[in-house]
Amino acid sequence: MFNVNKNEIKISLKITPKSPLLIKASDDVQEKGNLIQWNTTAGSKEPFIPGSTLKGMLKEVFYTIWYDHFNLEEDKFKEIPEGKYKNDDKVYDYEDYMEDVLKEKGEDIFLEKSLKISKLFGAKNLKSRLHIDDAYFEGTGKVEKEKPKSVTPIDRFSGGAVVPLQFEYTCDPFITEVTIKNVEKDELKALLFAIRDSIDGDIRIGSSKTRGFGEVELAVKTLQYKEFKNSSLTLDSSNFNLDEKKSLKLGEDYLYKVYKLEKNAMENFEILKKVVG
Amino acid sequence: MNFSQFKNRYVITGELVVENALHIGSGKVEGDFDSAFIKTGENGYYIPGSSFKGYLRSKVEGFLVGAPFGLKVGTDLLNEGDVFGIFGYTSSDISKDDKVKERLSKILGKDFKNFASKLHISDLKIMDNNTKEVTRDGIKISRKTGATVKGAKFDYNVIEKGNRFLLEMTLENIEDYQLEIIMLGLKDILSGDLFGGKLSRGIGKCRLELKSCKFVDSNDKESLKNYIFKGDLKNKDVNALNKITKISL
Repeated sequence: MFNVNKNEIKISLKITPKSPLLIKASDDVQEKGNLIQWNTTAGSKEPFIPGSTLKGMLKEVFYTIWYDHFNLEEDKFKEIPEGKYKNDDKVYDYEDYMEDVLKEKGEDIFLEKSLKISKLFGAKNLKSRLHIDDAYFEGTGKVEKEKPKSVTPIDRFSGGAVVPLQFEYTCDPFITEVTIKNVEKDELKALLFAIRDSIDGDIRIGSSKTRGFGEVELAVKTLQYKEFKNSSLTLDSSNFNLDEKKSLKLGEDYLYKVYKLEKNAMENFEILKKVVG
Repeated sequence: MNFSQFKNRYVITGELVVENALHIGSGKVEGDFDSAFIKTGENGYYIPGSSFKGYLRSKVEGFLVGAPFGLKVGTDLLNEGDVFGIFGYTSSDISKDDKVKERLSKILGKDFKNFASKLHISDLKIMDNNTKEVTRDGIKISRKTGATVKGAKFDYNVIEKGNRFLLEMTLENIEDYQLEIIMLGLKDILSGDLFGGKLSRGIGKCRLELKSCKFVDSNDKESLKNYIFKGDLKNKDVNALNKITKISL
């Protein structure tokens, strides 16, 4: 699965906050007082959204879509080994069962039995095929430090207000890159759903989501599709341009071809629908 | 082909640039970290040569195991035997596939039970000794409740972007086409690729910049003399390494 080279897709995603966005710095960094600070790199103090936050957000969307689509009912997480069902009431935990399967029957059965979501996002014993970069400001964005947003908690006992909490936030767009190795069409479709959901205002990330923070809109900036010789995934390539520089030609034939799609974000969403099919 | 005769020697150096952040786990819990960056001594952050060799091997295997793309040298089809021929093997590693064995005996000229690697990669030491590690936190979210799972918080430390690690790769008695296979394996990381641990969490993008390539070939008697008596190696244009002419599809 990982030693096979089929294809690779790289999507540059723009993340535009539709409401104030706050990714909290860790507790070690927070100063004393009521100010909740933004997450920054240690050296250059550059604000960023960690890839793990974005991966969690995507996993949530993919999970919602695939849960119904592939009948990933809760009980499926507990597998009963064949032959043990009638004689033995023991129900195995999914991951433990997978370890047993791996020991007994080998890797192929293990991969076949793994959940689709684990095959993409990774699980115990299974490496993720999806990588999402830390997101940094697209241009010269800034975190609002001078006029932080205040939230005034109410003391439930007295009913009076206590000292307001001050939240740093930003409304400037970020840019990140999603890379999926050996991508399948279902995965691209689910990614499209995530983009559509974000346009509908259903996606929130970061801190204080229930207080109105964190609504984001996703848009595709650029798309790069690398297809190895004999690859099985066929995308509608009429919208792509072949990038000769990045493709690798050995003699007369291509070892892999790299295609590029570079248009405006919203237009891309429509094109992407066509490309994915 | 054997190691008792000196045929050639290449020393390729480069710098591995961290493009966002990098984590190479030490494999043990250290201090407050659940997963600490590997280091020697007080501040000796490094990437083990074995990590880089493993990365390179997996890339090369992707092209050769099972001959998925039909890469050829002349009329000979390359397969896993070529991976063994470069990276070495012990008897337990020999494939049961006859085609692989056939290819291997053709490369080595004889059936050997084991064969040393032609490739040596030194540990990649960090270039800026004042670099400080940075902690990152992770948390598991329960898909059922949407809330964080108790006790599922973990932390690990990373080396931040901009840091550079020094790579030195030595190749001995290497054939031209084998050097091209290695360059095919390095192709991705020359333009930026994922490397290290915690990759799906947003970190691990690295880019390799090749800096120099020095070599000596036993057919060139003058430079061989210089190498033996003075230790001098000839310079080769690094960009020339990227040109693949011996291997075809």
